[in-house]
Amino acid sequence: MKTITLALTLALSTMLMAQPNFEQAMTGALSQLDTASGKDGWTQAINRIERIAQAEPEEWLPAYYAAYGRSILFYMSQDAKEKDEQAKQAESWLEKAKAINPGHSEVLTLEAFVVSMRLSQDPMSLGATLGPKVGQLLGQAIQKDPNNPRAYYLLGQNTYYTPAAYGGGAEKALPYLQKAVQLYEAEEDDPMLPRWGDAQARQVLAQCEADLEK
Amino acid sequence: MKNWLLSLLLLAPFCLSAQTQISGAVQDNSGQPIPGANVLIQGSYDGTSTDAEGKFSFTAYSEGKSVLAVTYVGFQPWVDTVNLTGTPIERTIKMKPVISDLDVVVISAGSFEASDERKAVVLKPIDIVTTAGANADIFGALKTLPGSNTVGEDEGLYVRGGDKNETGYYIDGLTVASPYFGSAPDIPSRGRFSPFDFKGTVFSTGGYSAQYGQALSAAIVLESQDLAPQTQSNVGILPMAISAGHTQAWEKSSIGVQAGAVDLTPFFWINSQRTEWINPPEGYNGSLSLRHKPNDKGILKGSATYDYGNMGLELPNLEDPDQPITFNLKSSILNSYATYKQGLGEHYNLDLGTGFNQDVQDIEFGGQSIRQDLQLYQGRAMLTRFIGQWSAARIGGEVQNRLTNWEVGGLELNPSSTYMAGFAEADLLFGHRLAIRPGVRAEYDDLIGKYNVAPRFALAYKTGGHSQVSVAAGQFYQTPLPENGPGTYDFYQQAEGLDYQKATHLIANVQHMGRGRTFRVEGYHKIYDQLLTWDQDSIFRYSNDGHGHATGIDLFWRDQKTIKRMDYWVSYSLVFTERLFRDYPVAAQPTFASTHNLNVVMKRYFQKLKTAASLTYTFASGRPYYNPNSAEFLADRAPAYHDISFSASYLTNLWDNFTVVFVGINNILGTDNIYSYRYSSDGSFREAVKAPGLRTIIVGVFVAFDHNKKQEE
Repeated sequence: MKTITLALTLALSTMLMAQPNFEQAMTGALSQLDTASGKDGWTQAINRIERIAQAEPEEWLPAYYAAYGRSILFYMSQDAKEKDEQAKQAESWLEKAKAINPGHSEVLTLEAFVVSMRLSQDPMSLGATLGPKVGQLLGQAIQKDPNNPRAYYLLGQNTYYTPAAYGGGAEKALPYLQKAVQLYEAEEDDPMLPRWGDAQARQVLAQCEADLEK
Repeated sequence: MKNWLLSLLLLAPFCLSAQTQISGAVQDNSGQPIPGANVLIQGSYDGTSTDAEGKFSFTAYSEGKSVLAVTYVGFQPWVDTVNLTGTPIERTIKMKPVISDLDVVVISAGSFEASDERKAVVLKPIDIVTTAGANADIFGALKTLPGSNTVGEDEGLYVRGGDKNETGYYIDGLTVASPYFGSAPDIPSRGRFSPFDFKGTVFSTGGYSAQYGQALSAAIVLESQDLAPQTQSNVGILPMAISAGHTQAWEKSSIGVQAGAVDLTPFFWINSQRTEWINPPEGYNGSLSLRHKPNDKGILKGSATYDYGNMGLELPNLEDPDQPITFNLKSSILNSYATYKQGLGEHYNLDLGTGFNQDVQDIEFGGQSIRQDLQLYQGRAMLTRFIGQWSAARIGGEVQNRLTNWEVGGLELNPSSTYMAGFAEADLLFGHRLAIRPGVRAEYDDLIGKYNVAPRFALAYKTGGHSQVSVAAGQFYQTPLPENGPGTYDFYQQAEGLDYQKATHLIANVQHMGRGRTFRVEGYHKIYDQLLTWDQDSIFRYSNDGHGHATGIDLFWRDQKTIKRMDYWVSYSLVFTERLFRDYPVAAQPTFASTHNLNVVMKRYFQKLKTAASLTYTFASGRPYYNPNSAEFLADRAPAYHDISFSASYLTNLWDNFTVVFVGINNILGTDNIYSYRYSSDGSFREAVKAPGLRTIIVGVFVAFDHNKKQEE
C-alpha cells in the first residue's frame, strides 16, 4: 500500500510539474515578479508571465501583468529606442487585456498607467492631448469600482506631479493618496486579481506629506 | 488491484509524454549574445529566459510538431517548427533587429516638418506657439526657419528669392485662398489660423510633392486636428481683443466654436504710432469645427472660419506730401471645408475633400473705390495604396472653380475660370536606408487654356544612424494672376494668350539628427521661366517674357541639449537671385530679397518662476529699392534690418483654471528699421518705409476651463 501511495504521489507531483494549472502558473510567476530586482530580474519575471499570456489567450490577467511589467521596464530603460520598443510591447499587451475584459476598472487603470508612460516620453508636446485622457480613464475606473486602490494611487500620483498651474500639487494629491492607502489596507490577497502599488502609494504619500509640512 | 490500475492510469500520461530538452544560444546579427530573451514553445507554459551569455536550456513537456519562438525587445520575433520526440534539441538562434520609425530614412530635401505624431522631425507644434516675435502666428514662426526672407512691411512668406504669391497654403490637401487678414499697404497683417488648430505643419521651401500645385516657390502644408480630446472652454483677454470658445467632446464626435472681437484703439494708447490712423483696425471673427469618427479607420472633419475687419488710415502722398492719401478697407473672409478620410481594408486609404472660400475686400484708395470679391469652390480626391510597412503610392485629382468680381471706378469685371489637376506619386523604400519619391502632376487652367505636365523626384539615403543625404528636383507651374490695380481689366482681356509661369528646383541636403541636436545644410538652384511681365503704356501689355534664378545655401542648427532647460536654433540663409518680371526693365535682385538672413531663437523654461521665456534675434541684409535717380535699376540697398523680440508666458491658476499670462515685446531695442524707400515719380522726394510703431508691447491673459476636472471632484 505504501508503494502505491508513493507511486501515486510521485505520479501526481510529476504531472503537476509538467502541467501546472493556470492558477498555479500565475501564482508562481507573480511571486517571481514580487521578488524580482533589477532590470534582469524583471525581464525574466515578465518573460515568464508573457509565456503564460501567449498560452492562455482567453485570460486577461497575464496580458494585464505583461502590459504592467513592460511599462515598468520602460521606466527602467535608458535608451530612447529601447524605451520606445518597451512601450510598444506594453501597448500591445494592453490591447489584448482590453479585448478580453473591456471596461473593467483594473484594465482602465492600467490603460491610464500605459498612457502616462507614453506621456512621459514628451510631456511638452503630448501633455495637452494625453494628460486629459489619463484623468478621464482614472475617472471611469473609479466609477466602475470606487474601491480600486490603484486608480486612487495613480490619480494621487498624477496630481502630485502636475504643476499647481495645471491644477495639481501636493495639497490636492493628499486626499487621493490617503484614500488609496486606506483601500490598499482593506484589500484582500487574491492571486487572480491585480495587486500592486501599495508600497509605491505609501512612498508618494510620505513625500506628499513631507512637502505639505514644509 | 483497483489501486494498481489507478496508479498505472495516472502514470500513463507521464510515461507517454516525452520530455524534450531544448537548449542553445540566442545572438544578434553580429554574433553578440542576447541575454534576457524569452524562449518558449508556443501555446504552452514551457520556456525560459536566456542567461547573461545568451544561453538557454529548458524542458518541453508537450510533444509532436510545435513552434519554438524567441522574442526580445528591439528584435523581430523568431519562430521555427520543432518536432518534440524526447531527443534533445539544440539551436543557435540569430535575431534581426526591429526597424523603428527612427531608423527609417525620411525625404527631407526642401522641407521642415513640425509634428507630434512623427518622431524624426525638426520641430514640434508647441515650438510654433512659443517663438518670440511670431505672436503665436504659425506663419510668423515659419519666418524663423531658413529659406524665408524677412520683409518687415508685408505679411506672407517670401521664400528663396520667390515672391509671396509663389507660396501655396494647403489645409488637409485643400487650397487656402486667403491665409491672411486683409491689410493696408506697408502694414503687415497676421495669419488667420490658430496654431492650436493643427497637429502638423510642413514648411516646404522647394522640391515638394506632386500633391501640391500652383506654387512656384514654397508650400505650407497644414494638417488639422482630429477629434478634440476633452470638453473645455477658454477665454482670452488682451488690451485690444477678447475671445471665447467652447469645445464639447464625446466619444466619437466633437464640436468646437470660437468667437472674438478686435479693436486696436487701446493697443495704440500703449504703443505709439507714426501712422495716421483715421479708424484703427477693428473687427470680429468666428470659427466652427466639427469632427466625427464613424469607425476606427475613418474621420469626418468640417471647419469654417469667418473674419470681418475694417480700418482707415492716411498713406503718405509722394507726389504732394501735404496731401496724404486716405485708405479705407473693409474685408470679410470666409474659409470653409469638409474632408473625409477613410481607411479601406488593410491596404487602401481614401481622402475626399471639398471647400468654399470667399474673400470680399472693399477698398477706398484716395477717393477711388475698388471692390474685389474672390470665390473659390474646390473638390479633391486621393487614393493611397500602402505597400509593405513603409512604402505607399498615391493617385488623385482636384478641381477648382474661381469666380471673381471686380469693380474699379465704375468698371465691372466678372472673370471666372476652372482649374483641374491630376497627380500620381509613390514613396518607395528599399530597405530602410534608401527612399525615392517619383511623382508627376498635370494641370489644365481654362483661364489661359493651356496644359502643363510637371515631373517631380526626390531621393534620400541614410548614411548612418543619425545622418542622411537627400536630393530633390522638380518642375512647378503657376497660373499668372493680375495685381489688384489698374491693369486688372487688361489682364483678363489678354489672359488667353498667356502661359504658365514656371520654376525648376534642384536641391541637395545633408542632415544630422543626433539626440537633442540637429544640423542641416541645404544647397539649391532654382530657375524661373515664363514669369509674367507687363509694359505700362496706354493699355497694359502682358506677356510671359520674365525669367530669373535663385541660388543659395540654407543652414539650420538646433540644440536642446548642451545647456540645460535651454533650447535654441540658428537659421542662416544666403541667396543670390536675379529676375526679370512685372515691369522690370532688366533682370535684377528683386525688392523683396536680402542676400543674408539670420534668425537666432532661444527658449528657456524657468521652473521656479513657472515661466517660459523666448528671445528671437532677426537680421536681414538690406534689400534693393527703386531709385529713379540711379543710373542702374535696383542698385540701391536699404539699411540692414535688426530686431530683438522677447516673449514670456507665466503659467498659473485662476480660480482653479489653467491660466497663461503672456507678455510679448517686439523690437525691444526700438531699432528704427528702414525697410525700403519710395520715390515721387520725378525722383525729387522720397519717403522711408518703416514699421507703424517702434517697440510694441502686448499683454494678454488666457484661461482654459476644464470641465472634466470639475466632474471628478
